[in-house]
Amino acid sequence: MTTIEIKNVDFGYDEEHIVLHDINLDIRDPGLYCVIGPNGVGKSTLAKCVSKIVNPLNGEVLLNGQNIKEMSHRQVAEVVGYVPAFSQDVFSMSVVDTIMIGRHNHRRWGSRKKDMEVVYKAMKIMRIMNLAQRKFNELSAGQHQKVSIARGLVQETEVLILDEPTANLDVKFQVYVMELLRGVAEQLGIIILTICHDLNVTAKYAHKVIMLERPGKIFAFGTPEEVLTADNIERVYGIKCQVVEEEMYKVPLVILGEPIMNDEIDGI
Amino acid sequence: MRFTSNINEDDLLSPAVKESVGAWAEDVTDDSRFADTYKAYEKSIRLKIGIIVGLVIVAFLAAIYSIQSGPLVGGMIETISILWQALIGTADPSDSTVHWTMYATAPVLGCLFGGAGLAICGAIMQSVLRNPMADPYTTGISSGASFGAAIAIASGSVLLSFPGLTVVLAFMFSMIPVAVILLITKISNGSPITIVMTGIGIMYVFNALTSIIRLVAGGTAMSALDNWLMGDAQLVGWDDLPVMVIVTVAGIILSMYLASRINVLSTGDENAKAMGINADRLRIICLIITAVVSAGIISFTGLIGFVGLVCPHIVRMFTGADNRYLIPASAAFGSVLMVVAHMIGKLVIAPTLVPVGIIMACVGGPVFIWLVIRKNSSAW
Repeated sequence: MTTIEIKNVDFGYDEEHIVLHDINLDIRDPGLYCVIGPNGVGKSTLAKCVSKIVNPLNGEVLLNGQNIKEMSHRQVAEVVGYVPAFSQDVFSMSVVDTIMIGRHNHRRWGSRKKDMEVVYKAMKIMRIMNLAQRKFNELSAGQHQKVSIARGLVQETEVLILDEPTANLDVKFQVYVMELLRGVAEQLGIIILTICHDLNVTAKYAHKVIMLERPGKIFAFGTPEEVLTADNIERVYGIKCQVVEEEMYKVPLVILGEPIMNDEIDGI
Repeated sequence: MRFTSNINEDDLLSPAVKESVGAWAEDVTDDSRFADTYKAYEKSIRLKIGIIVGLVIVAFLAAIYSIQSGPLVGGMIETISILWQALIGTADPSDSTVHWTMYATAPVLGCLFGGAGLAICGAIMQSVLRNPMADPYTTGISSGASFGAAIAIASGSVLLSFPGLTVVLAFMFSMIPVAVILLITKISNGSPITIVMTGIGIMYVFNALTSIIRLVAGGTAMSALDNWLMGDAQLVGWDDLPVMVIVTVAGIILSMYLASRINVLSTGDENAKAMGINADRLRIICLIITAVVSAGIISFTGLIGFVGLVCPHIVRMFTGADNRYLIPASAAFGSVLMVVAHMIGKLVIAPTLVPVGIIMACVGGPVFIWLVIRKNSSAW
C-alpha cells in the first residue's frame, strides 16, 4: 500500500519568501484527497513538493517510507503522476501523441499497441475520442483540461496529483471529473491528490480534505464534515457562510455569504 | 455509506462514472473502434517514416545530380559508377573524369552532412528551449564558433598546422553562448524572446570580434577569412569531411536516442520533472550536442544561417512536432536544402560560384519572413 508522509516541510523560492511552513501530513489510505485554501497559500507548491518538482528547504517527504530527496526523478515518477494546472505546448502534437507522452515511463520496444490501448481507454473515459487527431493547441481550455487529465490517467501511477483538474470545465464535467477521480481512487486503490476551489464539489466527492491557511500552513485535515465547517471556512477564506446538510446525498452544502475584506491580507 | 472505499457501494457515484471506471479494466483489443484508432495511429507513423525515407532518397539523388552538373564530369550514370568505384576502392585517380568527379564530390558531401547537422541543431534547440526562433545562428552559437574558427584561420599556418585546432577553438567559443543561454534560462526563466534577444546580442559581439581579427590579419589570411565567412561549401575538402561526417552522424544518433525524452521536455520543465526526467541535465546535454555539431560543421563551411531555423519549421508541417520523426526528417530536409542551394550557387551565374551561405540567406530570408507572418500556424 502506498504511503505519503510529509514531515516538517518548509518551502520557499528563496529564504525570505517562505511559502510553506512546517507542513505535516500522513496519507496512508487510498482515496481522493482535496487540497483547498485561498489563493497563493501554497497548494500548488505542496503538490510540487510531493512530486519532486521542487525540493523543500527543510523537512522531508517520504514516499513509501523512502525520502524522495534520495530518489531519482525517474523513481519518483514511477510512483507519482502529476498533471500541471495549465500546459500550453509551443509545438503541439496531436491529442493522441500528447496523451502518449504520459506513457513515457512504460514505453518499451514493441509496447506500442499496449500503450495505445491505455491511451484509447483514457480518451474514451474523458469523452475526447473525437479529438484524437486534432492538434493540442487548437483545442479549447476545457478540452485541454480533459486531455491533460487523460495524460495523467495513462501514467498508471499509485499516486496521481492534479493541479486544479476542474478549472475551465463546464459544470457537468466538473462533477463528472470529480466523480471519476473518486471512482478511480476506489477502484484502483490509489491515492489521488487534487487541488480544488469548489467547496461543494469537494464536500461531496473528497474522501479527505486538506485545508491550508495563510501563510502556508495546514489548518485542518479530515473528512469533509470535519473540515468544511462554517467557522473554518470563515477563518481560512474570510467569507461568511452557512453549512447545512444536503438532503439528497447527506453531504455538507456550503452556502456562501458576504466576503470579509481585509486590506492587509487582500493586498491593498 | 459515506466513506466507503468500494466503488460498487458508493452511492455518491453515478452509474455513468461507475461504467467509465469499470471500462478501465476491460480488454479493448476486440473493440472495433480501438482497432480503427490503432490503425489510424499506425498509418500516421508509417506516413512519417515514409516522409523521412523519401527525403533521404531525394537528398542523395540531389547530391548526385549536383555532382554531375559541374564542368568536366560525366552524366548521372557515369557519376554514380565512379562514386561506387571510389567507395569500393577501385576508382582510378589518374583518370581526369574521376579526378574532377571526386573534386566536385567533397563540397556536395559537405552540404549533405552540413545541412543535416545544422538542421538537427535547429530542431533540438527549438524543442529543448521551447522556442520557435531558436537555432545555432539566432542564439549566437554559430557566431561563437565562427569566431573560434576565425582565430585559427587568420593565424594562417601558425595554428592551422595543428590538425583539428580549428574545430576545437570553434567548439570552445561556441560554448560561451551555450553557457549564457543556460544562465538566462535559469535566472529569468528564459522566455523565448529573452533567449533570442540575448542570442542576437552575442552574435553582434562575436561578429565584431571576428571583424577585428579580419582587420588585424590582413593580406592572404584576410581573403581566406572572407571566403570562409560567406559560408562556402566549396571550401570543404576531403580532409575536412571525416570530422563533419562524424559529428553529424553522432549528433543524429544521439539526438534520436534522446528524442522521446526531448518530447517530454518540450511540454515544459515541470511536466518533464514529473515524468521522471532531469530537465536541466537533459537541456545541457542537448545544447552541448548542438554546440559540438555546429562547431564541427561551421569550422569548415563558414557561417551558414537559416538551415537550422527554417528546416524544422517546414518539416514540422508534415511530420508534426514529435522529435522522434522531426529530427531525422529535418536532417534529411536540411541535406536537400543545402545541396540544392549549393547547386543553384554553381549554376546561377556560372562560372562564378555563389557561396551556399549567400544563396541560403537569399532564399531563407523570405521563407523566414513568411513563417513569422504566418503566426497562427498550427506548426508553432
